[in-house]
Amino acid sequence: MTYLVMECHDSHAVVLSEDGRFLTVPNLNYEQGQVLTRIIDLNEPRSIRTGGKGRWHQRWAQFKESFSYPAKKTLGLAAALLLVVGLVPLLVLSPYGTVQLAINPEVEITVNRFNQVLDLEGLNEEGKRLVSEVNVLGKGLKQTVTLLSERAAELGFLQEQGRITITADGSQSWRQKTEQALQSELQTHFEGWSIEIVIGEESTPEPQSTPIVIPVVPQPTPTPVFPSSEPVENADSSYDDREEERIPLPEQDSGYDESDDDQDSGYDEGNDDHEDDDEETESEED
Amino acid sequence: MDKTQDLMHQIEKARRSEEAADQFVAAYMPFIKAETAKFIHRSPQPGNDDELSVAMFAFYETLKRYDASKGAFFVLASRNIRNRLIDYARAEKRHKGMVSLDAQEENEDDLPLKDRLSDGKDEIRNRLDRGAVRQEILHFREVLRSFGLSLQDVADHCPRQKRTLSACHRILAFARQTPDIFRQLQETGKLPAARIMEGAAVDRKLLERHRSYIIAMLLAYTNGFDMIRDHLRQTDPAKGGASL
Repeated sequence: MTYLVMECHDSHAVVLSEDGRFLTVPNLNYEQGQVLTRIIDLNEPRSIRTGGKGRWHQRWAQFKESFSYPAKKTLGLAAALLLVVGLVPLLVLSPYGTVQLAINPEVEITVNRFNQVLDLEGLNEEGKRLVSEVNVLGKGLKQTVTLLSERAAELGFLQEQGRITITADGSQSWRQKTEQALQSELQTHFEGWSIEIVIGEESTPEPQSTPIVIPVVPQPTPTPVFPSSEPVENADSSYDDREEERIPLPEQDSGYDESDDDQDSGYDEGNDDHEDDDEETESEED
Repeated sequence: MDKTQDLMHQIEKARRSEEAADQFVAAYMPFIKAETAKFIHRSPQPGNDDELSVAMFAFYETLKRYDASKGAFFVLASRNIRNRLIDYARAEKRHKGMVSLDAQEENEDDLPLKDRLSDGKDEIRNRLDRGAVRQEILHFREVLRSFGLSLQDVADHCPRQKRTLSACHRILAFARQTPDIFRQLQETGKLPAARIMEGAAVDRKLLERHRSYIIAMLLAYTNGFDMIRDHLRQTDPAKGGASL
């Protein structure tokens, strides 16, 4: 590469390289019109001087430079889109809550925030039987609960005078909404049968906890039918202390009192733990 | 405070005018020499010590890029001189073992190395040519001036990235195929932007950022600048080099 000296000043010179670049360089006693084979080019990209960044860095820098502005803009947009799109599985596939259905078979349904089924698990012997050969992945929650109940009836688990207990686990508002919705759904579904649909207590594997009972069968007087209302009054020591305060309430009351808020659902904590794990992993990768 | 304002005024003037810049540098040579001495641990000799030239260059650089928000001028100048001297030292280290073509021989009557080495060309002709080239260059500068440009402007707006440089070469190639472009440039004193954008497939942003450079290159390919073009054609595609 040769350089034609175009202009000289005390502190610098302007030269023209063979490949058509005009450069400002230190003036080492140059003369105008002189042709140089070497200049002090202090603005060289670092790749030329190995004293600077390493080869990978220079390759990367060259690679980055090889993109035009429009290309860069498009790539940036694509990257942003990918990011957004990548969030979709997070929304769709993340467990949002569970619903336990207990008749005699006990099963647990895990759903995402759209109430689509992510997982179905039998919790006991009969439960496992109930869910075998049942594929409800992606189906709606209501539909699944109904389907399972039907199947329970078909298989003989659910009979007249039987009881279905519904227990939801997840965020407070979702839980309430879901339990009530499922309850009324099943009530409608099994109208004519004398089935009780009952809402269970949260986060206990035992379906037979102290619930608030809302009887389905029209009776002359709405009375709590569920047998374990008695333990409420007798304060079985195996239950939490607060249950002593629970009084079977008439239909209108949703039945949830403040103490629900105090207790963390096991599920939520599980979520938080996962989030922490993710953060730790990310920092390790850094 | 007056002193600072006076300095700022000087800096502003120097940034605008090349002459004023030269004067400013000359005025602060003692400072530049002192800063160089700090680095090379001896007293710098003008003419002999390339480091001094590098330091002057760094000073000039600071001058051109200075803006008040960056802090005190001399602090920055000092830092830049040091940095550039480091860059220079590194570059020199790489080239260690190569004898400088400008090196003075022990016997001063001998010609400097570069003139003694045969480079395959007619050396005497080269020396005579230098005078002729100088004439052309002076002419070129005049033409640039008529477009409101200085060589420094052109150097400042010269593309650095290969990609942009290639784009500018495309513009030149397009203009050479469409001589009308040259005519339009010379008649209107402006670049025919739309035609160039279309003919060379470049966007407006590029045209605007490198306007001075593009004009200079186009002008170099108008009549009368044979030797400059000769220099550029060292890397002609016909001879197997980069396209120009």
